[in-house]
Amino acid sequence: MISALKLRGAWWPALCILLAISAVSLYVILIAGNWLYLGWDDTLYFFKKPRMWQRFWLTVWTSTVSSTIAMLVGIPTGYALSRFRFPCRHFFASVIDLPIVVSPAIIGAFLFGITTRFPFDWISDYYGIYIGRNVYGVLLVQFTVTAAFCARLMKASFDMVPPRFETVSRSLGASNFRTFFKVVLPMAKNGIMASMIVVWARAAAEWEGLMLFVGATEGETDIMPFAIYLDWNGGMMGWVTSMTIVCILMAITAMSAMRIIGGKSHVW
Amino acid sequence: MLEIKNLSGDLGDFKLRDINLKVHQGEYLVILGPTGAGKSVLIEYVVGIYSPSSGTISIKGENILPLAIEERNIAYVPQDYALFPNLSVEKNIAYGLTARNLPADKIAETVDRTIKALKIENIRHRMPLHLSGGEKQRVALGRALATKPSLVLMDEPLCALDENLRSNMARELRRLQKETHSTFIHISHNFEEAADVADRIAIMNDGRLVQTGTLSEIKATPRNRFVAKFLKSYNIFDAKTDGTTISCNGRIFQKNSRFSGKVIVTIRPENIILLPGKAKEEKVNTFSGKICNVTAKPHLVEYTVDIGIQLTAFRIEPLAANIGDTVSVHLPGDHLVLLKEDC
Amino acid sequence: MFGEKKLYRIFFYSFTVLMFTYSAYLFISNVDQLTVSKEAVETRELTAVWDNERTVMNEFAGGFWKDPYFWKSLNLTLMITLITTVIVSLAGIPTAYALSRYNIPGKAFIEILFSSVIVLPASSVGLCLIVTLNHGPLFELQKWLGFRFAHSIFPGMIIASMVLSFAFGVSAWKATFSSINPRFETVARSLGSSRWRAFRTVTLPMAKGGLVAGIILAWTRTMAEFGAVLFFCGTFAELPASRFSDFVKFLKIDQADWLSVAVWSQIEYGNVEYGFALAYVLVIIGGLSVYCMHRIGAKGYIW
Repeated sequence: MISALKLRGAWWPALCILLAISAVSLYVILIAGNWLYLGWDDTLYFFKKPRMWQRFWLTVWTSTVSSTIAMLVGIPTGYALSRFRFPCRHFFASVIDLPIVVSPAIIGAFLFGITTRFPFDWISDYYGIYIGRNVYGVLLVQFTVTAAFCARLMKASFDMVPPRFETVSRSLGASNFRTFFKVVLPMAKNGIMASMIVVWARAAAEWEGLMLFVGATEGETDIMPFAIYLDWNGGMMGWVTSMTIVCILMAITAMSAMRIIGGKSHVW
Repeated sequence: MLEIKNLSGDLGDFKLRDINLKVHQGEYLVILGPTGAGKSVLIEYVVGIYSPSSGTISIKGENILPLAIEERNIAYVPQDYALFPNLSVEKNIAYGLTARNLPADKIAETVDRTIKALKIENIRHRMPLHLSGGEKQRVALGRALATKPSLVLMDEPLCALDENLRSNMARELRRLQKETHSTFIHISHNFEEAADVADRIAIMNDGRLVQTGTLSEIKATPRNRFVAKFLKSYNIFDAKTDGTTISCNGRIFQKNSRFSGKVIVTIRPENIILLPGKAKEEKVNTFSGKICNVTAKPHLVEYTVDIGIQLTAFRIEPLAANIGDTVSVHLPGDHLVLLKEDC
Repeated sequence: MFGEKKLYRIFFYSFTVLMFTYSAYLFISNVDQLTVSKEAVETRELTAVWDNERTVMNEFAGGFWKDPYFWKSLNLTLMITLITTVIVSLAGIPTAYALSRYNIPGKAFIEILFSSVIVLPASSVGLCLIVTLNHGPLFELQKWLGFRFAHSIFPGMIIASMVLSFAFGVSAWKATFSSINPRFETVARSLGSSRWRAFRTVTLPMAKGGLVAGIILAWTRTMAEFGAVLFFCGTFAELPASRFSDFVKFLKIDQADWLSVAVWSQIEYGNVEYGFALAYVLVIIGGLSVYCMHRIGAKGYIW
């Protein structure tokens, strides 16, 4: 009787665990399927091609630049959203969030729209920098998509730093700026580094916006995910699969790094 | 009715080693010990959150280790009370009863009775968010007692309450336990609190059960230095004995004991007798000493005297002497407790 | 000190205002794309794909509300999103609970897995789906069942949109469950509740806010899905009517596209106003979802 009683109600944890394990297995199969399709030899063959690495480095450096700029804008914004109470806070936050809520393809379309008018045409006429179907376009798209993402992540990080520390710092005579740079930022350090990695990974995965806005110029604007799409259209399955593997490896590396650096200090 | 035999467990941070404990039906046991001693962990094994690596736990002779938490019928009141925030006081108390699928009128009757017994009629429909510490504690108790459990386990139930409330609630707890004839196990780190409520006390340190017994037993014969310190004996000093006398720092005490060689001597501060003026030489175990410090406490006066050994003594009435004066200090042989180092 | 505090506030506010302006400008300035200019009409080449119904073009916003294609696409997107969100919620909430409460071996690996899926490019996800489902043993399964998963509405689109929104949902729900002290369930169980009852009567009400936030998150992410659906299902607009089953026609979702994909294909084919109109529809839907999230006050949700 006792053992029967122990089984009563045990169906619930069993169900949960079963669902969890099935879901995880499905994802693993999904991701590992690429390797199985391509085979080890073919993978190595594609990995050796310089074309692969060209795009890889393009992806890496554009993501780094745009995510750095995004972080520079996102950190203060996140702090303001976290600490300050101003009217229509929700409305402001919603509008800032918009670029990440809608599909990036739409962002691409809209960016295409605004680069042909003020202030961008003014900049391109005056300074001769043309933002459009080139690397600058890529950077702009990546920035647009990741800045808002970054602001949101930063808000979450700063939310976790209790305001008490700032009060104490100010009561000891430190100015507001000093408090921010010497007290708040170091405390949010883990969150910031983890966010930086996630933002970087998001920028490296951005391509839908590029389709409509930047177009494809071989070697100049086809970052990895975009290259996957282009080669897919060209039917070059081998390239497509091997580049997907590279993307997957990049994503997993970034996430592992984030876990090690961010540890438990983050919302993930 | 609860018997823990040779219980050992390893939870990473907390290790329990070879716990043996018996609790009798209708008894109020307090598990006492410093933070990190493993008291809460022991309770968690009894509730069923973890499984021990070895040993048995049995209630009324039946081994409860294979049972799941919901089958053990042991009430658990954790440190922050864990009142369900989405249910009112009434529904919280009724929770265990509805879980057992009892008929609605029986549930209502039991809930009414519990609420009356705990005197919380005025907060019957409130949500836990809006309750004070003392109210929360009553509700938590009510919820635990409504299901007539075989055992009630409370983890530091009084630590969130302020001083005044604490002694009142301690008396309440004792009254409830006697009225319902339940068996209570109460965890505490505060010796005074334990003294207020317990029938028996079990002292734990570093994952081990150090001593079990009634308050007077433990006070009179603490098993080792740790227990003596924990029970606030204040006066613990090393000495040498030869079976009939104890010598320490040039002072000789008369005491028969079965020990020989190095011992630890302890005497409770309330048992030291202070008299003004120099000590009379012919009296046994009486010495002259200087008063080093006088502190007035709420219920007594604390004296620090030096007879070659630093001692703390309590007096109800203050002595007609000041700091620096010489007084007579008498340590009755009966109240001198000898311990061998760390057993 | 007063001056310094003001400077400090201005410094931080300015970034917020900058981002707000950038975002608002991005969306508002494109409104005039909805109207057609004379030169655009003359220089535009219409592809032969569109039949007589295409006369609705060259109007404000492409006259999208008159076009059955728009309504069918909206229908399709909303329907699939609803189904996907329901499936993801039903499967994801228990999964998140298990990941949060129970010690499943390889937990760290699982967490990395789910967060990696979130930052993978959608095209890679779509590709993984194609590779897994169009080759090997799963392809045999499909042949046995009689229909292909890829390039289909049911279950193709559902699977494609589900992969990413499941990962998002589980991430959000796991955070919710982790923030609830397991002690409540222990106490509930010590009072005699079974595990399911403890979950249902204690944990679930406490987690309500976070769960709803996760559901809205999954919904929003599904609506915004583009790459995976494009890769896995392609566009349906140009397919002949015979390709669709009667059931699908009954639901009025034949010859329709996923809205995000429709935006792209319309703009690619030159029908710019129409595409932008569809884009704005999506933006409005997305904006409403975000606003709901903020009002609920969901903490720490991450897109």
